[in-house]
Amino acid sequence: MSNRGRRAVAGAAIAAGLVLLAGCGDSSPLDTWNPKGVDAQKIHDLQWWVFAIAGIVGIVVFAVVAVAVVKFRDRGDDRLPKQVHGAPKLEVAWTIAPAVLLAGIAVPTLAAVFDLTKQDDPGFEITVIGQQWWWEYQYRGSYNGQSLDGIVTSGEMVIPAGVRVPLRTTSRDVIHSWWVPALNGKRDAVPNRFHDWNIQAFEPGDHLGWCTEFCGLSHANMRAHAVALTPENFVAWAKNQQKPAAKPTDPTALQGMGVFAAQCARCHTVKGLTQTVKDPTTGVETEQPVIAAPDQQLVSGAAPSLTHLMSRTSFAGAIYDLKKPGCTNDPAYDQAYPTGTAGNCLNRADMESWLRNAPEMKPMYAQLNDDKKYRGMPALGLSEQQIDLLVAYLVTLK
Amino acid sequence: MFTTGFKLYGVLALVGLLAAFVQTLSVTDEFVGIWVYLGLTAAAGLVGGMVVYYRDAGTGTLVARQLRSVEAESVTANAPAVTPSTWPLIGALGVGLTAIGLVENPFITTIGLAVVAGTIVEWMVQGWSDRATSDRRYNAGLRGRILHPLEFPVLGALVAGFVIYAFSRIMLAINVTIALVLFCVVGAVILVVAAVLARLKELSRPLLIGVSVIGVGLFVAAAATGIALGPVEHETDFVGNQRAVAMKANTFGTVTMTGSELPTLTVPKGTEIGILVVNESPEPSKLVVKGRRVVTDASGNSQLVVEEFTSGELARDKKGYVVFRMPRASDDKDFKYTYEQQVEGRTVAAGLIVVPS
Repeated sequence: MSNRGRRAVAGAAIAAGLVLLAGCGDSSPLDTWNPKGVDAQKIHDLQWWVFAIAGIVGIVVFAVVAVAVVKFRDRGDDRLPKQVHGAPKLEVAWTIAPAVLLAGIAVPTLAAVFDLTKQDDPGFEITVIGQQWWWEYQYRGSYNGQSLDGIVTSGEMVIPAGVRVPLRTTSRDVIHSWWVPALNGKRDAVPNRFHDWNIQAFEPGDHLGWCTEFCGLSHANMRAHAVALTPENFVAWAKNQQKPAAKPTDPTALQGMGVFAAQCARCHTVKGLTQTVKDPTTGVETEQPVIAAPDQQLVSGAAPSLTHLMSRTSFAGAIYDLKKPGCTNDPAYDQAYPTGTAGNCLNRADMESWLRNAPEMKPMYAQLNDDKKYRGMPALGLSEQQIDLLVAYLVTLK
Repeated sequence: MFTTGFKLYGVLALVGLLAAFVQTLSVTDEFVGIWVYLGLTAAAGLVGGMVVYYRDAGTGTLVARQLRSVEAESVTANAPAVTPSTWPLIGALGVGLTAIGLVENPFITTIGLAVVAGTIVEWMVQGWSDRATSDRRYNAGLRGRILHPLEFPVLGALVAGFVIYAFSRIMLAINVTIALVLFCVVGAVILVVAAVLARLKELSRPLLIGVSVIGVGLFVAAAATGIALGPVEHETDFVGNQRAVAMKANTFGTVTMTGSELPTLTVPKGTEIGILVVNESPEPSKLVVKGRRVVTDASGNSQLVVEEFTSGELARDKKGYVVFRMPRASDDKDFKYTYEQQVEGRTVAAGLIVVPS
């Protein structure tokens, strides 16, 4: 072999080695070979079987090709190999063998597909709604006597560990696909359709997911978390989610509430948010609820509900940490999560940057379209003082 | 014997005669159309007879005959090798269909015009290629080079369209069980026939043509039978809007109308919701969903409008579908969504629709 050839082989070997080494990393939350739920386990068991068959077939094919290449290579003479016209036994064999192999793969595959689509009835279900570029989760039903009706959250789906929860995926704008690899396969979220799916986690934990259907500018920034809690913590979480936001007592946060009502509440809901309205004829001042109208502002017609913002770990389509690492790494965090964490836990730097100029943090169509609507959150042009006031209010939303 | 002109006018006369016959069978009190078609037949027949008599007013045949008697070999070598053409026949059919369609159905006219357009192109190119050289095979190649890129896709689309249409008629005419058995049997027969043919030492052309003709013939006969029988009623217990069947697979929930209060529905905002409705009341009833929506006009003025979505009237034990979209959370006091069971316009039961914020 020439020097050039040796160098090429060495380069290829190093590249292959690096690829192999990459597989040894233990920080891979999207690993499809590390199931943490019953459905993911089913897929995992099936893919081992299929990979084993495919691997054997691959090795056999490569071996046969190698033998053929060596045995029938050009030996420098003019002799032609024996010319064969038809070999019925061989042809029958290579027709039957793949058919048997495919049948062997098809039977467990079909069984797994049917198993994965069967739904249990734990008394509640979650509607998973995709929109550019975040996920919303709406709960219906009850769990362990706790009603879940009306709970709406975003970025993080919260489930009780050990319970196989039925999901219904849909979309408000374009096609998305919801996938948390550790817990189940992916399911497309298609506008005007509801696709049934399931999710179950063996143990409490936070599992990362992603939108896996190209859905526009910030598709790569549309993440999802599936947070499994103990049954007790899940009930505590649900109770907390059904409470309206408390009116802040801190004067700065109160001012921030005013800024929120004027700037953010056009799209974002905070249940329990009120503002003082003066009747123009009588002059009487009354407290009126502030209702978001995202249908008038956004193409998707929805923006994340912020009623319990501080009971989440991420924001902005689950791409930024809402809390400081020191807070989330604390063993006490798991207990604090269901009812929301204190204000000093906030990742203030990213939150302020987001409020300052959201499209800079996450690419979005920040301009109004022909229907005078946005896709994603526009830059609001807030002053630094307004941002400080807003942050003071947001940390009260547990 | 049959000149080009005679083929054209002869078929036109026949089409007119056929149309007059069909008109006679289908119309009882209006005979103008029949006379028009018979007039077309008479006129086309007369012109067809004249062009035969005058040999299409052409001198080519006479000249060729005279020349052949003088120097047959050289004339044969240099005379254009004109191929027999069926395009006059097809063109006449197109003209006839166009005329008939003007009276009977615009769709027939469309087909007639398409046939005429195709005939013009084909006949023109064939006329040109026939006179390109004296070599008939070379001329055929020339024609193919120009027309095959047009003919193959069009014919392919027509055949594919026919196959799809024929399959749809066959499958609509039979129920699910028969369809399963039929297609298993047909598939098995095709496999067996193909296996037998593959085992033959020598495949003769007539045999292949025979098998193909029988296969296509059976397929066409099955399609014709399917058309004649019409579709079986697959959705006998299901009525509602036209999207019902498609939406049935995406039902968000089911509402049963019994005449008593309806349960509260919780639905997400801003997504299309399909509800399967079952009427268990003795009276014919319909489910009416009352939504709200803000409509903004061109000058930017917004107005709240009430929208109604209905399942259509359902007889007892019938199922229907209602599809609606709620744009805003029902926390807003102006966005209270309700739904009701109505009997002859009267509300007999009602329920709330909650849209969480």
